[in-house]
Amino acid sequence: MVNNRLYVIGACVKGASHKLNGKPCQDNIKYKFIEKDTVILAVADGHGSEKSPFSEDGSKAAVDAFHTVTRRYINSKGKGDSLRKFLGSEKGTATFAREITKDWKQRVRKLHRINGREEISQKQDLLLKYGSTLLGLLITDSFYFAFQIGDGDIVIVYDKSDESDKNPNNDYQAEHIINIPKILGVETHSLCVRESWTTALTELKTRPEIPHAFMLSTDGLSNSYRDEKTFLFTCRDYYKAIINHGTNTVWGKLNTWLEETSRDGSGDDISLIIAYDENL
Amino acid sequence: MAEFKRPGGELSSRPLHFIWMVDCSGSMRGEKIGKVNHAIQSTIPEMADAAKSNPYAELLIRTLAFSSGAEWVTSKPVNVEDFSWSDLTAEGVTDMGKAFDLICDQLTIPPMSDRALPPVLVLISDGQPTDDYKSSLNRLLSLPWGKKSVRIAISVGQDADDSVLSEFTGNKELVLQANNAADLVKMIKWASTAAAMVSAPSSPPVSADGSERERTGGINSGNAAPLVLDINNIPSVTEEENNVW
Repeated sequence: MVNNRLYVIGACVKGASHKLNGKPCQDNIKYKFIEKDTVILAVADGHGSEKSPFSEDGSKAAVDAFHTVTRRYINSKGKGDSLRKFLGSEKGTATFAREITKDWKQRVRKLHRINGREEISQKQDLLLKYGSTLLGLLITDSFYFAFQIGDGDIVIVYDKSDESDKNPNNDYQAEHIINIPKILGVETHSLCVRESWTTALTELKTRPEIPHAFMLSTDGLSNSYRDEKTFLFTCRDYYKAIINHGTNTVWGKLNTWLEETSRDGSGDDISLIIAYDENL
Repeated sequence: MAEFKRPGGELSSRPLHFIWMVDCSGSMRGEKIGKVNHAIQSTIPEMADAAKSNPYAELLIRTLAFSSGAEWVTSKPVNVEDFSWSDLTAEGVTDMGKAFDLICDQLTIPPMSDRALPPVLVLISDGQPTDDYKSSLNRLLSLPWGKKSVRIAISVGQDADDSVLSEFTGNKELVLQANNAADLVKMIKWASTAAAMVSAPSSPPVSADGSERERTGGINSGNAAPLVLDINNIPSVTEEENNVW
């Protein structure tokens, strides 16, 4: 069990290309402490194509679905071993993924109805209009559980230096929690496709007992860098910024930095949540 | 508190490779190659303008010529702002397979980045391949970026082998017919707009089984690239009885 002092900051910015062409931001983020040492984080990226005109609503529904379903399991199983066993099992994660996608579909159908939007007989066509990815992370005092449908990145950064390691360059390590096979080009897995729960990838691990941070981001961030190496360097650099300047200072600048990143990089909407555990 | 700069490494837009693959065999001699040269040359300013309105994709253009053998006319991808056209001449046979081989070498990762946008390949041909194109084409279509590439073919004249071009595109509707000079120019201009369509920011979903969700219609050979093109505005062919190739 880690001795937590967990800080969470996040920002979601409209992409520079969307500002140019007058489109809304189709990303959404949500992060909430359930208890002092338990937090649920989620980011989602709406597809933004002409075939997905309501994907802004779809990404909102996605982060809400993750929070609601995760909360429901915490309420029924607690946040200890019972939940850990469930989310660490194949059957448990399949059930969890099904419930997430079911909750999302119910939300978007309701949104469609209450907004008086044009009736669509084909279920899949309606869901496509709200298409979105979803990345979620549950952090408890003992374990973390990552969940992903579609592109984006869930990264852990930690201090790997020790007293014997005198090399100042070997200070921090950044690695993906879920190694998602890259889909080349612009396509992504999505909540809106048939059997989308089967594309969910998950990972459950024990919290490290050293200072560390989790970073959830939509693909607008990683696509703003030439390669994976530069992106992971960026993750380490954000972590260093928090250590050196504190979460409040980084939070105060986060919007500006992400806007700059979109402007000079991918042009896409960018969402980023950082959960930092200084582990004193 | 002293200002400190944005954390992280160097920012980069996503590369978008656009490749003209031009049949320079002897049958293209004269008016055909002349029109190809003129039409591609004329698309450059519009492609540059379109690229300016989407600065988040780095449009890189190359030309590959094939006749007896195949070679890169542009040795490396060139930013559209710096791209200029050198007129091609026509002589020899139609080694389309060798052209596919050269494309394969450039679509592997590396030199392609896995963060690139889908490359656009525009194949302009008036005839039938004279080499073993099939194994080279199969290799191209088996590459991850080969599968994801947006492939358009312009069939020049009535002797072109449309079945081969359909194999290349994976979709009959992306084999554009150009049986006269006016249509050749129109089709080349339309093909040049593919870069702008590919770079428009959106993320279409894939099916859970990994197959493309969308097809444009027409024959789907199973190798069709995920379509981000609007085929509804492909120009119609001119109905001319005379002056057809």
